[in-house]
Amino acid sequence: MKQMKIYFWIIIAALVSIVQIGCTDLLDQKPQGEWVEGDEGSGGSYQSDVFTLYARVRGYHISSGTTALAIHSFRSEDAEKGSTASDGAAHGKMFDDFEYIATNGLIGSYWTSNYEIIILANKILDDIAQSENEKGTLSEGDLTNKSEAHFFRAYAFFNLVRAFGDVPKIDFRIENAEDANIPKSPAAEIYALIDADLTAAEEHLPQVWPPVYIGRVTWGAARALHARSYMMRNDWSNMHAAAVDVIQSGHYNLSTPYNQIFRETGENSSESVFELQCTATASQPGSNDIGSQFAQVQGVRGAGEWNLGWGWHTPTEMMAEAFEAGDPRKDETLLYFIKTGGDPSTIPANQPYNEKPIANADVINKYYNKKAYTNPSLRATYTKGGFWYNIRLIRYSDVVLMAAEAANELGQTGQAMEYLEMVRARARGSNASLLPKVTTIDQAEMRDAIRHERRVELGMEFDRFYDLARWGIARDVLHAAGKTGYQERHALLPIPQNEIDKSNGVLVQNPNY
Amino acid sequence: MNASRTKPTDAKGVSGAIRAAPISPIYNAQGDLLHTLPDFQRAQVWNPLIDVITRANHNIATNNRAAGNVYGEIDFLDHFSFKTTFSLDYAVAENRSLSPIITVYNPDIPGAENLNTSESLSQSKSTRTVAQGDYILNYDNSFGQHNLTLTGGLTTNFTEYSSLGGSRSQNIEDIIFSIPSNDSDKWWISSIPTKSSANSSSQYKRFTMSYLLRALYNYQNRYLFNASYRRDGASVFRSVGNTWDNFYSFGAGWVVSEETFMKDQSLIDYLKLKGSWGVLGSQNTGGYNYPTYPRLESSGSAVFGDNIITGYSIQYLPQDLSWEKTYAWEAGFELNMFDNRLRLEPVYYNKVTKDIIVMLAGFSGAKNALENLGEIQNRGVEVSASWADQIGSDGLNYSLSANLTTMDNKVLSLGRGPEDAIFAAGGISRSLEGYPVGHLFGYKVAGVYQNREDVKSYYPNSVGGVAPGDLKFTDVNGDGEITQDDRTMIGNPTPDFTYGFSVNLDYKNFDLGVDMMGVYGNEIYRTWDDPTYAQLNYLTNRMDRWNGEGTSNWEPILNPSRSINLINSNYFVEDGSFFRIRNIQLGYTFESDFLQRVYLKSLRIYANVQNLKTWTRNTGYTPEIGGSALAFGIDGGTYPMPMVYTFGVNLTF
Repeated sequence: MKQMKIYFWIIIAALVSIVQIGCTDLLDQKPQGEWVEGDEGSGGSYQSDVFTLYARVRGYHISSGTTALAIHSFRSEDAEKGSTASDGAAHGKMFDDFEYIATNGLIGSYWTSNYEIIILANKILDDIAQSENEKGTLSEGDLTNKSEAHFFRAYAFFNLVRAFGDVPKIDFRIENAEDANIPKSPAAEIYALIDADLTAAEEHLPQVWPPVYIGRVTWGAARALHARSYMMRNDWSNMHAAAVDVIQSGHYNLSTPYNQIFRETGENSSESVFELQCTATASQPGSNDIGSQFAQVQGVRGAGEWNLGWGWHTPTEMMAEAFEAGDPRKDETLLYFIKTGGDPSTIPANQPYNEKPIANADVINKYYNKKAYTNPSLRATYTKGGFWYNIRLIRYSDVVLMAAEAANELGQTGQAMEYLEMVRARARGSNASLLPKVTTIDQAEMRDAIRHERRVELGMEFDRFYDLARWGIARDVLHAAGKTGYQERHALLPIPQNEIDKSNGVLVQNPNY
Repeated sequence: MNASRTKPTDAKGVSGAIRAAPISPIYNAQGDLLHTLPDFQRAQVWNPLIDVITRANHNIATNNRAAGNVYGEIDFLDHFSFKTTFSLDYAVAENRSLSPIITVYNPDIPGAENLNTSESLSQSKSTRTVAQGDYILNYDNSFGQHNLTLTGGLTTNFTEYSSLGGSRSQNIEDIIFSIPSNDSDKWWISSIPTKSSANSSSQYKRFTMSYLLRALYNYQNRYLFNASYRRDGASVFRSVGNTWDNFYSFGAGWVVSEETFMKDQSLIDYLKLKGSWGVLGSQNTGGYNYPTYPRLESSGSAVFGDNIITGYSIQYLPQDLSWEKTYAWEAGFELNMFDNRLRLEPVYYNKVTKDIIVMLAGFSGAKNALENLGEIQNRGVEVSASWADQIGSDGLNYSLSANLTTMDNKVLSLGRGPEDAIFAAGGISRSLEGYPVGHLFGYKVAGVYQNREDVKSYYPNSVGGVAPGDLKFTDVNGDGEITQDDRTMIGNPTPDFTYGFSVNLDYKNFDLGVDMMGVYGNEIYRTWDDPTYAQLNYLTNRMDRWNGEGTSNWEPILNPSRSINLINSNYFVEDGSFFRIRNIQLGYTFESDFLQRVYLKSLRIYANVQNLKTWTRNTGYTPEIGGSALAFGIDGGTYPMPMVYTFGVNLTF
């Protein structure tokens, strides 16, 4: 009996210890078929995060969707929400008619998405700094990645500071959710950070990338963005220096005919300074993973073969009337269409595809944006949504016009005249009777000519509202356009209510909201 | 051991149906399916019947499952026993489906229109294995009037899941063999060439393990005590070193009816006073199997010309996650009276849940963080009562029972400043110290601006522009202005109480059971009819909208461009109370002498109706709306609860 008792306890002890040993191992479960932090290997290449930045900057709320278009473009007199009256009616009131409301979803998404880029860039910069501490040196690839992170952080902060003015200066790594809850910094401090970032970016970004990396950020993109950020501050001499640097680099020219620039054949043309790359493949014919909704959001809102998209961001009659007589750029900016049941003979066929789109009867716009108009044969191959359509963010003609404007403001009207003529000459093409050279040497007249040229050369390309704001003419122009809701306070958007709520008093609403 | 094979039903979305304008035709004059509804709904609402008619029964799913257990038990040394149980639950789910090219008609264009330009086939298979092992040693002895039971042991639970899926599609221009909608023999991905194909997998393993100790003691079955201790380990917390935690509970009871002074009365048959205190752990990690290893997810690709490079970014911020704990105490009694016909059991409970695992929204663009947070109290009374009796000696047996649970929910702490709230669901749900968790937050509607004069004379509104016909908010903080500070608690998604009734009748060979339940006092926040991008089907209430002075003081103007009316307010709050007949079952049991002739031990046939009727006060399809720990009761479009008829036979050989 006693013997049996002992055996029994031995068996129990053995069983328990087997289970115990086996199970302690089993408690150590690691993700299956997934990558986690640390898997990059020590000293990582940061490339994966950097590539994420490229995907982010193409994102719906940053550059390709209604969010970006509403904030950058609807607020001008030349573009409006479009679509039908009931589609996004509240967004129309907000961005076309300036009835700002802090709960608007688009400003919330814009805020969050720009900070996502910033916070990821901060992480990359912190990782690289740690790696530099450990290794004592950085490879060429690391330096490039670091420059890219600086570039994208500047890009996102530039978006935020223009839209909201003072914003939280999150320029450090976020370890805990609460770390990002900090008060706003003055716009001047944000611009100082942008300057520092772009200077750092310019230091190590390559002048050109080999074809396999076409569209990757270059020195020219950083320098041109820098010029743009000086432009927003009316810092003429720095703006001039930056723009002229890009011109003198010799990497860009205006040899691409205007009617080629926005066609698929004109992607990454000789005047592409910063162009977001989008594509489609047989297995991903319409995917934000490799493409964007840029063309879909602005596509003709029709039925069947003309269901190209939602028909947002449309040119106004004022845009149409802005062009000088015979300016070929008009037909490259406006996409003509008829409504269901309309008479096709009332509109010209859109070139180069000879198409006459038909939109739904209740759309409220007169034109669509031709700078988001896709090739019909690619539509047949992939989807009607045009996910492959590149987004041209900075074109060389923009840089040339920045140089012209800065030169004129610095009193070098003659130089401004030559830069302006470069842009007009290209637009003129082979037809010498069009778009005569501007020959005034009066600074004010030249200023008007350059402002006009920016408006038509860059029509429907985002930042018209910011041009009006920095020139101090937003109120006059918008009131003249019938947008009498605009007041000086509307130059800045309200801080999203959601962020103010989450911050529990740390974030303070902009004045007058 | 048991096994099952089921073919799940083919469910279709209903959100289109509830949003679609009911005035629009579904078919054209030729009887063909129309694509879009009127222009004002285009792009947002499609003909809801497209899904029903062209996509129904294009999915073949089979779920196979086998579960069983084996155990060995030895009794030894008189008072000891040792039991080992091993159980296994093995489930395989298979699914294949066809997504056809859908041809519809559109009044705006001649001829037919293809909704999509490719057809695709998908296939998936998943396997889930749950293995549980229990090793329990038991000691049971009595020392005179003292009875003691001691239990010690170890349990383990291992769950492993993996799934593999693939799909192939072919563009309309490449089709050689078109996949027939009526021949499921062709619904395998090998029917389509590989040109455009995709595949995926997902998998996880989880393991938990617990050491148990428990002591039960009573004296004369009159004074009862119990104590238990468990040490739980979970793989989900392992990497941050919080694998193990200790939990325990203590309880005591006094069976008053066993006392001698109770022997002389016959009114009370049984009376027990009881109370307990304990702490339990939960590893409810919000669906994350590796919560402490936030994965690097593919976050969109960098594209350089045709060169595509996948980028990765972390899913959420990794935190020092550990067990969620519930500290609970309760006290109550059990009472049986009138020859055990009446049974009554009221209990007061008070639970404090600490270190709740929540996904906290990041500030600005910062990542969300999965973390342990705060303390939330739930307390109330749980009462159950039943009455069972017989009418006539060979006649009707019946029993009636009822239960009621009251709930008082309050945030005790969020682990931050007492004034610092946590918002979820876009600011609809707020959690704040002293308030119910996830309460609905917004403006209180005082009425509708009737005219310009009304707009001018009412408090200035800095929230947004207002015009006649817009909602007029209450100046909650009394500062003479309508500002963001006038938002307040406008509803509580936690009910005041839940209740249930059931009736069971037995007459001769027939049996009938009816089961009813209800919820009272919770609020639902409606978001499903958001008209931002199209005019959706309006609620009938909107017939009474403001359309001129004096027409309504609650329903605002029909104009989706007026943002102020879309701001979170109690205009969107609905009563979530409901009452449901959950189940009715009627059965007939055959006589055993009949059964013996056909070699059966027992035979019962029954008919059952589930969810026969629900009385609700909200506008959505169902009042039962889930959510997360910090945001729930928000109706963004629900699926109706199906009514289920079942006919069945129970056989025993």
